[in-house]
Amino acid sequence: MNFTPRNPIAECFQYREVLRNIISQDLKVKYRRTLLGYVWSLLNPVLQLVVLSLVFSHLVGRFGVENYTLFLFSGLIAWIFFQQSLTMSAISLLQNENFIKKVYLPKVIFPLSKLCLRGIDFLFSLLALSLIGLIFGFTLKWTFALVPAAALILFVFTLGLALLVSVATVYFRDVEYFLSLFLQLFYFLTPILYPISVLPEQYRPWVALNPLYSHIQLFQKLIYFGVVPSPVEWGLAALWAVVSFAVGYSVMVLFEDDLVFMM
Amino acid sequence: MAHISVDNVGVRFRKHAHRSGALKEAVLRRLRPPSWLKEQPANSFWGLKGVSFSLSEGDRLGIIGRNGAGKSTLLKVISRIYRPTEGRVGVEGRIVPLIEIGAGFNPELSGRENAFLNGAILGMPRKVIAERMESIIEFSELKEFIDMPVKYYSTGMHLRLAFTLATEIPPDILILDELYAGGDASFIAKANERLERFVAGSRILIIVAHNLEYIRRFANRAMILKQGEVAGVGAPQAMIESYLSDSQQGPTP
Repeated sequence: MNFTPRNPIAECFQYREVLRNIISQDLKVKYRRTLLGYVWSLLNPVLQLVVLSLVFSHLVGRFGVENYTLFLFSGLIAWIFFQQSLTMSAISLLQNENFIKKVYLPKVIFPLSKLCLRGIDFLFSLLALSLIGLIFGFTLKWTFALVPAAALILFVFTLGLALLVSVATVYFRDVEYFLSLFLQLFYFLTPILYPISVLPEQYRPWVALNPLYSHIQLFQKLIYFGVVPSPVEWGLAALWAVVSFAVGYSVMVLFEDDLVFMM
Repeated sequence: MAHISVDNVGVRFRKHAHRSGALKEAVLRRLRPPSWLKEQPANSFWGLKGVSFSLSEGDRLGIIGRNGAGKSTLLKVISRIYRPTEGRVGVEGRIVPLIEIGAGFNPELSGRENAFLNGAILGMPRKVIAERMESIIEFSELKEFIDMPVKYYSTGMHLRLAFTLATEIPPDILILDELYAGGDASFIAKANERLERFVAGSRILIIVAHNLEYIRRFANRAMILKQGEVAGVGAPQAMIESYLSDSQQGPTP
């Protein structure tokens, strides 16, 4: 049997021109025939935020959080990146069957391109945040400058899961449907809409086990609370990122060559 | 130095790719299981088995065979689209496969945008494509259609663009799965002329064609594939005759 180990990461670098092309195309196709074009990237998170913030501050109350809008935003920005990256990655390989069956390309490129796209949206959201800040009249603390570090860790964490779900969907189309349910569950289980402090004491240690929360809380601390997370908190998020990446990467290496036979 | 070596290559396909158990098989493939655990032969078949040959600069191989003989599978193995189940494939040089029409076009994008994408996939930098754009538009006869999404293209337009992009900058190795035969007469004539020049540049060409005239014209070696195995290699004329006399004896079981 012929088994030459491959290095998908090195290959992605080799094919960076293709990656760049796929990303810019996706952007073009996404906003083709829209009136507002790229403005949607900015508008989307803002509108979502406005809706949630109206609902939760007036109907549900603010969970005792001062400046609920900012609190919501700090977690939501990470959540939106995570959720949309996974949703798009899940179908990324199937979507590109046309390429996979006709030319050789490292398969990592497809989920990775989706993450990069969402990453661009993420940057737009940060920009939107600054705008909202001006409107609502709150100032960001210096810890905001550390957000890129948290974002990088979240990127690696999400990439690992994205690789896993993109491969899994090729074998079991059910994954796509399962994933959306699963994401919805985590949306409510993870303290994004509410601060962890509203949960009864005995549940909090369980929430700490939620890998996603280890990431969300970095953003909440840096953006909303204006404090630097402790080394343990950074470390926990990084640990989950490494675990997720190791799993996703291994699955990709193991199945990369088999995918084409399943399409 | 362009070179291709194919060494005892076999590709096994599953009969029921979409049934459960495929995942287990994929894992087993990688983990080199003990023989008793290997997948049952009844569930799979060899699309290609024990194929060996090597090509150097100036070699133009024509592959002939019936439908399902493994011609396209062989092309896909050489192009790295399929990894062989057993055996080894070595390729040196820039390789451009033209297997099925439109090697990786995004239907939503225009011809021009696809040219850049395709260029990147086939190892031609953006700058090079930009410089050659005029010549690409002219050769593919797409003029006013170049900025239209490819999904609105006719089959002929599709194939003219694909052929033009694949050959605009002659690769070291060109792999053709008899597709431009679907173009109109004037384009075929132009394409043939371009191929002649490609061939004269002492590069490697692998061509699959049901139209044996193409094999006579462009190949200097031919190979007959029969049920996934090599049934003969030699001079094109001799192979064509052998293939034709074999087909006259009725369908193969």
